[in-house]
Amino acid sequence: MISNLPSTVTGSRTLDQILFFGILALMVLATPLLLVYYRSPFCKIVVVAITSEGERLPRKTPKPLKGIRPGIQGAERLIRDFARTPAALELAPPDGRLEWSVHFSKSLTDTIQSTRLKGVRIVATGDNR
Amino acid sequence: MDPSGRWRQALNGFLFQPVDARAAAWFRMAFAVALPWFFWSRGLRGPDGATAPVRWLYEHVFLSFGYWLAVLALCVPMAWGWRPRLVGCLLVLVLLPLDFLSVGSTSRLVMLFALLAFSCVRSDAVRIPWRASDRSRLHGAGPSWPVRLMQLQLTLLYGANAIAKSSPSYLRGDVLMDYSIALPNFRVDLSGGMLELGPVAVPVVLAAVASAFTEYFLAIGFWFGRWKWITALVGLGFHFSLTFIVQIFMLHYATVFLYLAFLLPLVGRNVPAGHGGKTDPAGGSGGPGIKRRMNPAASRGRGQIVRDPVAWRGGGEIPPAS
Repeated sequence: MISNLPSTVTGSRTLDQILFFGILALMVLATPLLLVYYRSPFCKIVVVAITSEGERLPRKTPKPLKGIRPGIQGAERLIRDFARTPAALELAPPDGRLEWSVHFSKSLTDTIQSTRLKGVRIVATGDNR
Repeated sequence: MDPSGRWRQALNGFLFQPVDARAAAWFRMAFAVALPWFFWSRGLRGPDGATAPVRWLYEHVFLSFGYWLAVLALCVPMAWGWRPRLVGCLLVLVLLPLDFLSVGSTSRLVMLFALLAFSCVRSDAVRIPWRASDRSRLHGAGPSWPVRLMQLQLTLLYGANAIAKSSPSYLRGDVLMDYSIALPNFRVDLSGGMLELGPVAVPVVLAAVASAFTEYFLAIGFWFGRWKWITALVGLGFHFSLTFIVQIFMLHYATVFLYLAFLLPLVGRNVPAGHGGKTDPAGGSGGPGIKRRMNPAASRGRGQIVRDPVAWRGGGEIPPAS
């Protein structure tokens, strides 16, 4: 009689299946580590008031723009929308202007920690009156 | 047959088809050549935030040239086909610390899982593939489930990224624009909303949608036999075009390497007729008394014969060929 039972790795088909599903489970669990360039870097909005003499005066970030958020583009849109509001005018000194900047993480592994935000992008420096 | 029985039959068919020994030998050799290159780690740093002893280990052991030479030394017997299962498992252990480096962990993780899976293949059934006779191919390289794991790894890689990129912010192009500003390994500035490739300017939103759609296609396309070569071409084009936009450390090459798991005829290959009266525990032979089943989906009109291992689930004597 010819024996043609299908081959296995461990000698038992059940064990083979356990091994297969075990390794597959590890692969699935590790899948989040395989995601690349799918989510914007985290960023923080900072505003500085500049007087007519060129003096830079730090300002508290307005509530709608506070906190760490994902996305430089999103942050820029928020700034541009907010800059048109009366609340923005109140932040600017007389005859001065506001400088908005978006500080962002430069590493894909950076977590939500403002101290690790390194890159800066100046969004709007115009007259906010 | 009840539905659960049908599922079990399908699963067994998926996991326990014989692996072609010669194709496995080719893959083994390609893997052995590629591994030292994928895990070249000189000039890299250990894991961020590591303690002092761990940092010392990485600086003086894992990232040393001698360690890489040890990896190379293990790849030689693997290429030759000397105890590839044992050597493969050893390589997984030796290469594991290199998966935690500061750069390139994604590609290394992919290769490590592929190596772990491939270590379960009896890839020494044929040692030198270009010298294999038809007789040696009768001894199969074991069941197909290790190869399925490598195939599923590729599917998970593309599929998970495609799903992650299906968010509104990505499809709008915001994510790509942000990365082009924030990350130094992006080769183009997309903040203006356009991707300039020579004389052609493509809106970033179009590039974002195309990349997500392509990854969905690559996740699924390889599983359809007729489409696998087209899928491979699309994948090559996709990764080639990405090199103009962003520098990804080794992930392009690791991903394309795994295409071999689909493109090489590793699973469900024609197995020549066996020699009467011989037992074949590897289960790779045909011959008298062996039930055969035509698989129209796989044959493409060429009469390819696929053994159905499920026919023997119940054990007992094999019915004579009708």
